[in-house]
Amino acid sequence: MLKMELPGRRERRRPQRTFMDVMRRMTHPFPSLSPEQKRELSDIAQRIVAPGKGILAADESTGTMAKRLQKINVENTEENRRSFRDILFTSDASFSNCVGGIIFFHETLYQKSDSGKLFPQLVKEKGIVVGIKVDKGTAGLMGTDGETTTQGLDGLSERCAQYKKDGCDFAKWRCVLKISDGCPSALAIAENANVLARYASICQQNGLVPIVEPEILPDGDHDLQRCQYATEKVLAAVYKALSDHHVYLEGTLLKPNMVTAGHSCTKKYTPQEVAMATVTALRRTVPASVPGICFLSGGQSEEEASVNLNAINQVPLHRPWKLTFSYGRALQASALAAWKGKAENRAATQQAFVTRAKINGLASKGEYKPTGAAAQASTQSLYTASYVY
Amino acid sequence: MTHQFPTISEAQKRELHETALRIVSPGKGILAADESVGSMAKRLAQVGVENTEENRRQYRQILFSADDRINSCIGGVIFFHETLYQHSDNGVPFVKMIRDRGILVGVKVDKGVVPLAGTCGETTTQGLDGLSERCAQYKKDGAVFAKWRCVLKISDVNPSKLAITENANVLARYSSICQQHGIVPVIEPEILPDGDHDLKRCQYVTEKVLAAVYKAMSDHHVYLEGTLLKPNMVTPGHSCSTKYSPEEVAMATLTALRRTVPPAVTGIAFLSGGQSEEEASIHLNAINNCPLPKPWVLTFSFGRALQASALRAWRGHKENEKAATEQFIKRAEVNSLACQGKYTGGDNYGEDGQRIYGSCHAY
Repeated sequence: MLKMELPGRRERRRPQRTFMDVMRRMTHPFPSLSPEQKRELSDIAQRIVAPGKGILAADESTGTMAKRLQKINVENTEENRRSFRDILFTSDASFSNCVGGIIFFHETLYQKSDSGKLFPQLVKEKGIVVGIKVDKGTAGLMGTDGETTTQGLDGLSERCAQYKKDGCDFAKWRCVLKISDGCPSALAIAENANVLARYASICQQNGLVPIVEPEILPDGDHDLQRCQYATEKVLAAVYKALSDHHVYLEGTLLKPNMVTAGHSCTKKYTPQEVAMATVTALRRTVPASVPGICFLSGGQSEEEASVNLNAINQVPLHRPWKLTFSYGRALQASALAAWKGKAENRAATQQAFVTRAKINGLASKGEYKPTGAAAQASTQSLYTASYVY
Repeated sequence: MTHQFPTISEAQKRELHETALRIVSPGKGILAADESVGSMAKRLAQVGVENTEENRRQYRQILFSADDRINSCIGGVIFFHETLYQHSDNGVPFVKMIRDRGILVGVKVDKGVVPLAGTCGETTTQGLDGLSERCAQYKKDGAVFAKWRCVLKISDVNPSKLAITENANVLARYSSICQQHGIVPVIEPEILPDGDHDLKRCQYVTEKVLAAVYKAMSDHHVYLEGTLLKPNMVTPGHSCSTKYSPEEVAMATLTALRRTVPPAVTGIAFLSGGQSEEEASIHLNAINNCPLPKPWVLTFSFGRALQASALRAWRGHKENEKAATEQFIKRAEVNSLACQGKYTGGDNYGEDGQRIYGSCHAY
């Protein structure tokens, strides 16, 4: 501990903190955010989930990009990663009607387009909000059945301040839970909820809207009901933690899994069943003050993710938050397949991406009408066992 | 850990949800006529009436013999145990009188507050012993919903973490038991208006308390669609020197609820606390006109705020009964309008033009 200079006589006469002083802290609101800070956060969140818009999750880490690029036989170099993101971000301007925000990986935030313009600037000029993945991956929880928490809190405040200067207005942090006989455990639920709340609190102090992502993996043979139950328990814990940490809900977004059966479940469910289970779980746990819920696509194919989102937006239950997308693979799979690392495929790549973006924009309003002739890549399941970023 | 064991069946869920919906149908709220014998002592003393079982019966009869005008204003009546088994002068059971008008019967099931040792005058509420058997009996006797009141207070050191968690837990236990018997639990975590704290402080405390309540509900596997919430409105303490407009009360109240009460909860029926009849109606009206989205019904569950004038008109004299009943009907109709945001009356509150609600970011 740092040796402070000795307090002067005046300071030494100050009374010790008493028990009553501590108790007084119980339910007094100490200032966390000013009304101006709240307004800024709320406005950013509203812009990201404006009607018909969702999020492009382009924040794949270097390791994850390795897997993506390997599938199309492209070398995982910094230039190739830059090149692919460049193709996406310079797509026809119309995609900014369906994309309200883009999540960046750290490296990408400081890369430039072919034109020489920094990516954040390019994206902001299209009226799209720039976000940044800030977590540092999962870490094992000793004594559990392979469960994890997520690290990245150290120095997070300083990093957020810098990201804000560098053009970001929102952040993303992913926690991972799984369903099995003994999972998710009480510890995993409580620990991940707590770390999400700490992250959210720190982001808001620095003017970044936190996207809270408590992903429950689709691995396993559990049925739809089991996933719904687990999702309700996890989300109840998340919002209790956010309350305990005094997080300003109107300035946050949620990025949950849809409620689906496990991948090895023998029973098949319709998009309407998935939608009903999902919306029911959310209505029971997510306060109305949260402006938007942007689903992750998990292992779903592009088409599945769109059809399910569409069904969610048609569920005949009152839905007080926006229900939209925050898709990675489900927006980029066809684009990657079209690209194959070749510059001459640029237009085809962009077209594939914009097509999915528009479809999901419609799905976020419940207006998507699938024609049935989906591209092969669209229906191919994007599930890989025990998915890790 | 997270295996779902059966709680209640689909049919039971449907029944609970439909009951809850009927209680808070558009334009309707709850008459809280469940004052205990001790509470009735205070009410009757104020109008110089002796606190006998017969007088209590006569008084409730005044309310229950209101004409059909209340059928569209009152969705449910909360009874005290004694009243559930009383009859009108003509020998008609009170329960039957109420049910025959299409109004649902509820019963207060808690057994009052008890102190929490080691706290600064805080309490929890008792009544869980044998509650399951009592609920089964109440269901047979005509009740389809129940009420349980917990009490918290604001001071320099309150509410404490213990008071918040203990009361949230006991409310969740009560709810779970009720639902097992097809009874919709009305959940009442009242934060008293005593004190000199401002509006902001009450809002903060209300948010913390309600967050704990709904976490406990989740932990106890309570079916939210088959419950109702009976909270305090967010108001400054009685001795607070700052005055707030109904719009400020409405904004603070609705903001607190939007941050804590899941949309799946079917309805919120406010208690009136120490508010006057008119104050309570004006506030309820402002809440329903507040320009923030409201995913649940927002209505009333008033005791004093529906009965004060009736009680004063009665004063224990038989010849005043009709006049007293009229007073009650009048308040019922006013609150029916208020819970739809359509109440334009109100002598004490300035102009009735468009009200200014102000920015939500200050809350």
